[in-house]
Amino acid sequence: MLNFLKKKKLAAAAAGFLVLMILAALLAPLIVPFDPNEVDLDRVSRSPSRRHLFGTDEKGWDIFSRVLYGARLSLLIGGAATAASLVIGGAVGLAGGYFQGPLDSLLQMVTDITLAFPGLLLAIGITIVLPPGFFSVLIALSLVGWSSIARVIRGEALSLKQREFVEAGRAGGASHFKLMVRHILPNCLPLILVVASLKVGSFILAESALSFLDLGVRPPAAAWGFMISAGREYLKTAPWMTLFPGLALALTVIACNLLGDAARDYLDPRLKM
Amino acid sequence: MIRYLLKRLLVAIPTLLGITLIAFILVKSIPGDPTYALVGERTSAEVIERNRVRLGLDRPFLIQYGKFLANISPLRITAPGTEGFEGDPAPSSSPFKVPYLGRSYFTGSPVSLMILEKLPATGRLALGAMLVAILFGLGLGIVSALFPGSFWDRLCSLLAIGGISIPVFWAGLILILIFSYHLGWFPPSGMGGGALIFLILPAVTLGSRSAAYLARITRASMLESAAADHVLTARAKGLSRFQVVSRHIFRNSLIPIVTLAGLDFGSYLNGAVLTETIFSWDGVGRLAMNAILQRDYPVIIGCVLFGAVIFVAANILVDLSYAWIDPRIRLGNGD
Repeated sequence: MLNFLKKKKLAAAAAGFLVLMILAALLAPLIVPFDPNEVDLDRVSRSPSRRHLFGTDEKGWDIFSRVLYGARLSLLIGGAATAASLVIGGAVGLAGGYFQGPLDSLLQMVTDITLAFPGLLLAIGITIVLPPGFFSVLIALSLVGWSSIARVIRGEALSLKQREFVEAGRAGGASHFKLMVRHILPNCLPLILVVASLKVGSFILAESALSFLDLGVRPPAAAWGFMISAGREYLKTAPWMTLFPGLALALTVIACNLLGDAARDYLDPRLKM
Repeated sequence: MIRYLLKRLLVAIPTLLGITLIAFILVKSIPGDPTYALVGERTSAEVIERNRVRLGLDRPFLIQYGKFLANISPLRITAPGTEGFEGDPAPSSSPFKVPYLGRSYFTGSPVSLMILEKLPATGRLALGAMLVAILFGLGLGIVSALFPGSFWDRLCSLLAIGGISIPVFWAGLILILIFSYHLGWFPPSGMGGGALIFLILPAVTLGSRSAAYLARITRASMLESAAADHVLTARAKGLSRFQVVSRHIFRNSLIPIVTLAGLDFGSYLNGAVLTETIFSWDGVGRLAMNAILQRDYPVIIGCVLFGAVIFVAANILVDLSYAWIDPRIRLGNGD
């Protein structure tokens, strides 16, 4: 893996950036120069300076501090939504591919129906009927995101099921559950890793879109999407309000996708597109 | 061909039913009692009960769902409890009607008519975006595939990653900042009564993501078909490079390209919500956005359902285009 990263400088840079971002998010309370929610009307809409690296917004909030706090939210939601949709999608895909028959048909129908919705629209539909907040966003993203994972894992489980080692396990008297979890699932891991790494970026994007539409976590909690939407009104006079949160968002998602692409090339070249 | 078409349409029916079921569940989960929204909260319990019965809210779930289906169906189904709505432009004698998606909480007008009214603007934006996506996506993808590993290939790949990763709404704002505020080349917002110059920035914003996807899939798909034996044969029999690329490589790469393009175009309403908001483009996406801000639930869910139906329709069109691209599918042995 280290050798691989050496060859792929871009992927290495992406990995480095993400590590930095995660560290910044974890340590945000220690490194932010200003309280992200402290309103100071003496420093409203200042342009970037040495004191305020990314400038301040119309409420006098320090944008650099809020971008760091936004990283916590984005990475947390991205990670949690990926984990949740892996659990749902993995269970559905494994069960469908392993048991086949009517259960599989039913599960596939549900998967297809979920896939038939344009993702953001379905997420909007789900978030508006839930009380606003972190968990609504998480639920909406996971309910939308599991289906593509289920489809990929089902295909893999279907083909793994035919292999000799599963046959051997069955002959040895292993239960269905044991066959699925101990024999098939570990062999899906490379695939799962690739899908997951590509999914994180798309969840981070979706979360920012929801909070841009004012459907995400409630302010004053810092969310990149919300900061960008707040900066819209001041685009002409205070473009840094829009520029920096968006830059952080774009770079994070680019890094996730670069890393996902590299993971795919390394672990499973068949998925290359 | 007809048989293939019918088969595809039949397969879409359970999907459509599932979509409507989800939309119905969303409608049922709207916070608050819909009768309050209709008659206001300062009404006696008796009036509310009467309205609940009138709206059929006291009936079992499946019956309510059936009524919902009859209402949103484009066919005129007269079942007990279904209501026609005034303002339906279709004549009452025709077997078709405009689907009824409920009424806006705020203006009281039927949601389907509101969507229909905004549809031409969104259609124009989507066409513009499609043009951007095809022009840039295919262009970049083909250049990458013709010179794999070159500087241009790597530049195209990087552009494609950026196009996929950069949020649509931020890209739009940055384009406005550069091309409207600093350079003054394009107007920052509005539709300008249909002037083409107003379309350019929104179309680039909405189309860039698709362009990036298309470039990636075009590159991969062309590289794959370039490795096939028939390409070697074509080259060996002395065809020009242009002929080999256009007739033997490109044509055989079309299936994945069309699949992805079609599916992506089907989901334009996703991006349209964001793009139209930023550019004050008066289409379905902005309608949805305004409804979200006002918590105008019938309008939001109407737009979600509309988007899903468009998506399924795009899926079917993609399948039909396979038959056109690849005669093996048309003749019925490609299942």
